[in-house]
Amino acid sequence: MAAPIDQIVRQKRTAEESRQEDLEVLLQALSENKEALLDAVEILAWLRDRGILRLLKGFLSSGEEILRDVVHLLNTPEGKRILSNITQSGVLLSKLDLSRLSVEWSDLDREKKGWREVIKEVRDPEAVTGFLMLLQMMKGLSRTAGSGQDEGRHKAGDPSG
Amino acid sequence: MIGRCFYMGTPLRERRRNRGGFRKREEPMKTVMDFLRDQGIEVPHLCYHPSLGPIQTCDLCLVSADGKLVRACAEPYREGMTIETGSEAVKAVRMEAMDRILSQHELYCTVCENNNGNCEIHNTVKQMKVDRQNLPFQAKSYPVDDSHPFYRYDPDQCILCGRCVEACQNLQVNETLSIDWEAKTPRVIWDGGSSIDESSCVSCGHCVTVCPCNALMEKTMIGEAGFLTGIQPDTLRSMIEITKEAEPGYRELIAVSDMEEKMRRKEIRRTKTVCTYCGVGCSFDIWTKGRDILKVEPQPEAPANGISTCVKGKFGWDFINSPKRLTRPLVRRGERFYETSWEEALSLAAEKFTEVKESGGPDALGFIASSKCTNEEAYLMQKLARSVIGTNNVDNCSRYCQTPATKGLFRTVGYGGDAGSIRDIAEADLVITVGSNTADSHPVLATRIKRAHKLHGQKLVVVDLLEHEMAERADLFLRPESSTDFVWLAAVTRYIVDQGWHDTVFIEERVNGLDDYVDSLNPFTLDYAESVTGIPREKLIRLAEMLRDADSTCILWAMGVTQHTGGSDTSTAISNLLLITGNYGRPGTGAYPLRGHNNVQGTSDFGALPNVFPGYESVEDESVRRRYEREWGGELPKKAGLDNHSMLDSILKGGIRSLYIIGEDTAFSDSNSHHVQEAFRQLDFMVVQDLFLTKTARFADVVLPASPSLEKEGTFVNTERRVQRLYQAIDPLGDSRPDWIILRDLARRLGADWPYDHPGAVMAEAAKLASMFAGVTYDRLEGYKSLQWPVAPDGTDAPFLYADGFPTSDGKARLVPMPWTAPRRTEGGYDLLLNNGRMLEHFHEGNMTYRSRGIRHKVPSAYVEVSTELAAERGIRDGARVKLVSPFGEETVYALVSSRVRKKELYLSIHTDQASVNTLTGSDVDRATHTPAYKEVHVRLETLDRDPVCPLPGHHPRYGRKNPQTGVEVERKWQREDYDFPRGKGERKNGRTH
Repeated sequence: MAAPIDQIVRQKRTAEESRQEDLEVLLQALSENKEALLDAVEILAWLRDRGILRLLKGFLSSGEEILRDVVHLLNTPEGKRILSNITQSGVLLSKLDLSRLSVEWSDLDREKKGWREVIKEVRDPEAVTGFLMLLQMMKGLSRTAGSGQDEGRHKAGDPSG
Repeated sequence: MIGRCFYMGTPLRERRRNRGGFRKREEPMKTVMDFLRDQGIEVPHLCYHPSLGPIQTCDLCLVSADGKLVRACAEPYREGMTIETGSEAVKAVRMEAMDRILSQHELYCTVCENNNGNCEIHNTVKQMKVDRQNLPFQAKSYPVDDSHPFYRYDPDQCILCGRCVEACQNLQVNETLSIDWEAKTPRVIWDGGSSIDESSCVSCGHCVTVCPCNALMEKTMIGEAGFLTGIQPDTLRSMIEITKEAEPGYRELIAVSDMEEKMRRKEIRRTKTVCTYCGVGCSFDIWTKGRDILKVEPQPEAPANGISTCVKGKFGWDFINSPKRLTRPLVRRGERFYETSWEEALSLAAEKFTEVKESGGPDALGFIASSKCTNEEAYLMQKLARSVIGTNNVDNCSRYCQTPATKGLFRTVGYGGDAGSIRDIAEADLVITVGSNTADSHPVLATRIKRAHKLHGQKLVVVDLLEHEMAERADLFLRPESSTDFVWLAAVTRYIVDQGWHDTVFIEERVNGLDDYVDSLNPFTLDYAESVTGIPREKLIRLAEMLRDADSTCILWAMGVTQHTGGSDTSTAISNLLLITGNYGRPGTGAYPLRGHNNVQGTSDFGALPNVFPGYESVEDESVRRRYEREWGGELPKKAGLDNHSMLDSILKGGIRSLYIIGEDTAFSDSNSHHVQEAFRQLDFMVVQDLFLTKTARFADVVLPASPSLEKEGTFVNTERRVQRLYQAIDPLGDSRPDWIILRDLARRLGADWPYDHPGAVMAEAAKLASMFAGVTYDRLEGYKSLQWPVAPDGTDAPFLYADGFPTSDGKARLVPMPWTAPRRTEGGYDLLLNNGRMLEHFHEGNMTYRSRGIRHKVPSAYVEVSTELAAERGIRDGARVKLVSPFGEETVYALVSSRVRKKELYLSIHTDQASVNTLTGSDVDRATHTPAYKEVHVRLETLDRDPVCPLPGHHPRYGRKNPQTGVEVERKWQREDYDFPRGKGERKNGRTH
């Protein structure tokens, strides 16, 4: 004869049992990842020696606030321009083939060219494009320095636009 | 005499032939997009969805066909067409269309919850190599609708593609969503303009699933899905603005978000699983992060449901992490359960089972398997009973619902399963549902009927006591007196024969027993049927005419038929009617008992029944038994065992002394709870295996904590006989274990040498022994692949049965005469019929769904529905507390005045953790299968107080006002002043493409 019951006596683990169980899990992980952990310890020691760990601790402990401050700082015309310039520079650099440029310099070293040759080179379409690019860049610099104003250009997806 | 009318009129088969032969499955129209896809050319698109078809709102799929710009998704493909997809002109109009889309949707992918590789705007921007937009983004100035517990709508991100509307109007067919095209700024609206929570939305999730971006999103994803999505909103807003300012173009933005998406893949796991909330067998990917469920994402290739889900499957999984889950084995000591180790619990169970077996013989033990567990677990349960203990006393809870349907089919056509697939139901000319609240009980299957009815001219007949959603939609709604279905079925069948509308050719070629059967129909005239059922004879004639006129008919039935004293006989009558009208063996025809739980079909298929081995082979057939003895070793019991019902009687008579119950709350779900609980009290030893400490588990001596479907592997069989795999999404909680592992370990302690290390090994053994599953292998069920039994050794399955004959000795079906069993009248002033059954939001005893805060928000508790007539007569208002009293017990519950019930009929949901309907039900059973006659309950009602608190909150979808539309109604968009066909100003107004 078994009457229905609903009281459950939980098997409580003592603090010592919990600690022992946690230690076993940790020891298992240590044993399975010995090499990786040794490397990690070495890196941590290096970061600590140089004060980087302390810096990181500070940063992480108030990460949300710092992120908010940084984002608000960047979300100004100046901040956006900095980021925009960085990314635009990146785009420009990605389009330049510097290795090809170095080959041209060495060619110049070897070949002694007179004015006639230089004028001939200037008529080359690639050289013309290069000159125009430099000219545009100089005009842009002058305009920016002169006005110091945001030109109000519409960017793709700009909600204010 | 009926006989003289036998061959009058034109035989049905002849008429079908005269109309041009039997209908073949029609292939959908081939569009230009279909043609291009066949060629491996993917045209950009956002509104088109393979499960919804062309919507024509996004204008992205424009191509040039024979020199004209057309939408590839909707343009019919013609042989010899010249199609251009990559010309500059075509690209330009597409870019214009994309510009318009991006002016409505802000791209901030890296910090967006939808950046998971499947954001279709993101992917289309990438596909089209869009680097910047010419039209700036413009917010719509509507607030985010955050009112619903499961999802939110952000109008500012909505591109008005209309997929959600199409899905709601024409796939789910709940007809809640539409687009207000006439508004100054169009947006998606619910019920014509209410908040989502207060609308008629049934939370099926279709709209969220098909949304191509983050406009509609599961709340469980918000702040959780990405590495940067949990940031405070104001910081996030600033980050979005900076990112847009700093990014030189979209390619870089897309590249960064793609990287972040790849990082997410390491953190968010997507696992295919099969839903456990009903027998439809919906499968989908479940997204988990640790133990948190982020979303359920159905896939078009899911064989039973495609992209469809219901509220429970889409959102009802909170129970997985409920603190009430059992996480350690429990043993009873005195008045308390004590948590213990598996070692102790299993050893105790083995020791006590052995003790009972040795003292009382193997038949002193009984085993109840679960229709919510896997096939492999059902197989192991019956093997444990038969092979390890030595008894056939094994059953499952299909006994409580579906066994009569199986019986009716075995009697007539030979297989105890649906004749075809859900696809056949969708394709039928006529669907008749009997005793099935399909939209609540099998919601996804109901969508297929609602869609076919709304869009494709399917006729629908509903026969039920309750005026539910399907009844409201039906072309013909018949409302018989309770327990009289057999009578109208017999009368309609007789009338069809009388009129000579029966399919004489089909019957002659493929059916035995016509004469005896027709003789048995003699008493069932239309007048008699009208007097017994209350259905006017004109309506019965109308039904017969609809059967006559339909090329193909499917009849679906559920517990409104089976849970009666004549449940098996009524099921037989249904099958007889289908045979008489030739509705077997062709697409779009057949009998469809709608299985209730996820694995009602499979648990029986895999032998958890007292009289048959897996594949329905008799335990009393010596050659079959020998086969199992050879494989399992040892001698097996020769006589059929006891079913659930008989086991309880046996306990009370001192026969069975020990029970092992898996995943079944018998104390709650079997009828006449007091009787059941009295039997449990008499047991010497009881083991219950479940997720929670159920009412049944409270009687146990040992309680074993099991794992639900998401924590294990295995297979289920759905209502279509479809075997599908489920995969483990998360680890078992605490020390809980999958049922198959518990069974294996218990068997080992009982001395069996069970080697199984994976459910696949169990399936391999079952397939080797039962020819029905001969070709079933886990490899053939990989991912979303499935097999419908019977499966031949080469893997050929059977989506459709009886095309080449019936599985009988001569290949013919049988018309089986049956008498009508009139329901027993309850004496003593019990004047009200207590109808009972399911509701959409909850499941079974409520252990799972009442753990969901969102579901509880919609339906916090059970209530009894009272007709307006009765309410007026007794002065009952919504929320009045009433006591229901039957000869077997009493329950107190809140009342809801409802137009769904009539006169002296009440309706009480079976899902409740408060008032159990089985306190009121009696011990009458179906005469053939012992399924309880749950639907034959009479009560009296006493009003306890009249201080009402409505049990159903005002934000329940029942109170919403649906807004039926033909679909997205894109023509209304095209008629707007501000719409021009891309690059077609002035010459292609109103969206016409040529």
